[in-house]
Amino acid sequence: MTDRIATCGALAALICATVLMGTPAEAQEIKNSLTPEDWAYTLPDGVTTKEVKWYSESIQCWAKVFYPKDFSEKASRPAIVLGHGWTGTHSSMEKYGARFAKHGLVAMVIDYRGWGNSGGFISPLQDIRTDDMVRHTTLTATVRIKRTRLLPMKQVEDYRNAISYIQGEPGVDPDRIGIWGSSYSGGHVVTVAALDARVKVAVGQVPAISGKNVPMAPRPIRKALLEDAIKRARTGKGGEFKTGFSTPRMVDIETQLEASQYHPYHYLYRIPETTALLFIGAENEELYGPEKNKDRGEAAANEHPGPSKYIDIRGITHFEMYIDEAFERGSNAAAAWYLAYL
Amino acid sequence: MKFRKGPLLATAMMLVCAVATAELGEITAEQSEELKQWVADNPRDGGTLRSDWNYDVPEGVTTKDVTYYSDEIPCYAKIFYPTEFSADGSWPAIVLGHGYNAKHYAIEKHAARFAERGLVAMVIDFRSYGMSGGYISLDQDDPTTDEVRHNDVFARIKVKRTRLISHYQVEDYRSAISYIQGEPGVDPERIGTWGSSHSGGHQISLPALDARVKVSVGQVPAIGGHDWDGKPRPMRKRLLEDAILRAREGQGAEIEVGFSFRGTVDLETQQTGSEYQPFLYVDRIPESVPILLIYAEKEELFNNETHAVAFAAARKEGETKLIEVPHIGHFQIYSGPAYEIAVEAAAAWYLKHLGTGH
Repeated sequence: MTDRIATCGALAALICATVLMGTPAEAQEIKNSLTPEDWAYTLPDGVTTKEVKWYSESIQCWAKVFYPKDFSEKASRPAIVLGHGWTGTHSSMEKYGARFAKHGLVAMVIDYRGWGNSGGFISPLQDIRTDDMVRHTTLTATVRIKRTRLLPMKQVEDYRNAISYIQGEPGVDPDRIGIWGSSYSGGHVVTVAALDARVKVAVGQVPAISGKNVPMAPRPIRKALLEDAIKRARTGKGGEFKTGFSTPRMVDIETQLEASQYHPYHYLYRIPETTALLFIGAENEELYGPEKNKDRGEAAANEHPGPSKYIDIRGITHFEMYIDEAFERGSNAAAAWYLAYL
Repeated sequence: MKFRKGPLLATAMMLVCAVATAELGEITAEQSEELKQWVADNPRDGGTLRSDWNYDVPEGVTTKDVTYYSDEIPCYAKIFYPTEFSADGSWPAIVLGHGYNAKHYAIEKHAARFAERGLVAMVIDFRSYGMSGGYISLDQDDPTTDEVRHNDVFARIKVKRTRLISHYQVEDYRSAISYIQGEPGVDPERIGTWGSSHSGGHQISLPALDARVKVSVGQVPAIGGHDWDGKPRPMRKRLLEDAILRAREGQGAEIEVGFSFRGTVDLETQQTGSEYQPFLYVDRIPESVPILLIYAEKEELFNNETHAVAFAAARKEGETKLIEVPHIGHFQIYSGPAYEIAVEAAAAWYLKHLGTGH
């Protein structure tokens, strides 16, 4: 049963992972992950970095901040927060942070709670009694630190808390903040921009902006996911499954439930008209179904009444966006967009 | 306010108890007079009295204290079971959540009455309130890495209570729904929710977000956002500074809040509270979900015209029923004749739309 859930889950959670994956010959050659070679970059001349600790829901998180050449704490530079995709970490995004810094932007590359170098989620393994009259208690106890929880709205919260962090960074102009996302977080940038007026510009590449043709209404929960929700609510522990591309990880089946109810497209109408949106898609996108980007990034760019643009990079598939010519085009287009609107 | 002139006094009194045969929510002349008198003798400024929370567990009703988990935090609930309840049966169930900075104690009596009327009723404490667990963070370095998912350690930790985050309260309701759906004897297809004041607003959000909610009742409900277009508003300076402080240092400023229960929450609550506007969800509630909103004629905390009344007018599909309880202010709905009217109307609403247990 678990294996079946795992298989179904892997497919379901990969936002319309398509029949293409199963077709012979050409499919075998589609790049389906990133390697350390793909993540590699050279720090541009004059660009410096600093590893920082920031807090999201009291959990200590990690980020690497890239500073442009001639950055000064007395200056007032725009800043970009970059969050990673499905089971990714900061590793795949550092090259983008470096590139944005090369163009004069401060860039904060984050790990979400529970991922990479950020702290995990804490739950008690013993009875802990505290009282409302005493708001803060410090104690020692047996707890579980759980990692690799993949919940979209928590990642959205992490973006927002990282924005707060970087707004307080000496040398950053708190009124000139942009966000960047890729793949799953390409959808998050829509959600964050809709919830947070501090976001002036958002860029999503190969963005998972699901929901255009999904009614904005609650839907019944699939039996297996409901059983898992009940188990979690009654025992504190649910099932797990393995998912991911470059570095597959075990995540909770809860992820499937949350992901099935998460539709960034439903947030589009709430984004202020003054916010500038850029989406960059792969022409031969294989992860988002037969419509590819027509009902995702492209549709989102068309629907937004404010400044918006969709760039279709020809001849590439999802993961090819991160490398070679596509990386150059995508990262430079994003930087240009930030500079134009920040 | 509606009342019926003409019927005999006896019939009018019977209507209070036999709501199934009367039009739901009709306040009789006698009831109105009783309310007026009671209000004059029982002012409630700024909160309820502890004596308002008192009740007797009805004959035959049983209770059980349980732990439900919300976002992996162990939380508290008390479940009330009707006299004829059997774990082999099929019973409708209601999840009840408390108001602003409050606790389950103040609303146990509502659950007890629902059970007396034949509903399983689960009254919860939200995360970090009452007898529920608090939010835990490490007070030391985190040594874990992605290679090992579960790390059971003995560690220095911090526990924080009384975090008042509206959308987390909605999550807690949803976790409790999951809990009660798995309760032997409960029909997972017949679940309703109940809330009051701040959690009265959750009675709009919940059916909009969760298809498992088949019916909801909100009393003295705070349903903000009637004139909001859904776009984010710039953060007020003080709240922005506090958000920056929290992100850079882990803990921001705190403020005192509460009515019947006074306590300390993070200043963050003002920001998250301003972002939580249940009216946003008016078009997402399924047509099949009937909502009952019971409000106080002399509501002093907000304007019913732009809350419950506006919501009922704005909802295009599905049934929204309004009951205005005459003469009372916000906190008088929790006791006396106003409590009787509100709790019986709610119970009748649930039984009508969920059916009885068997």
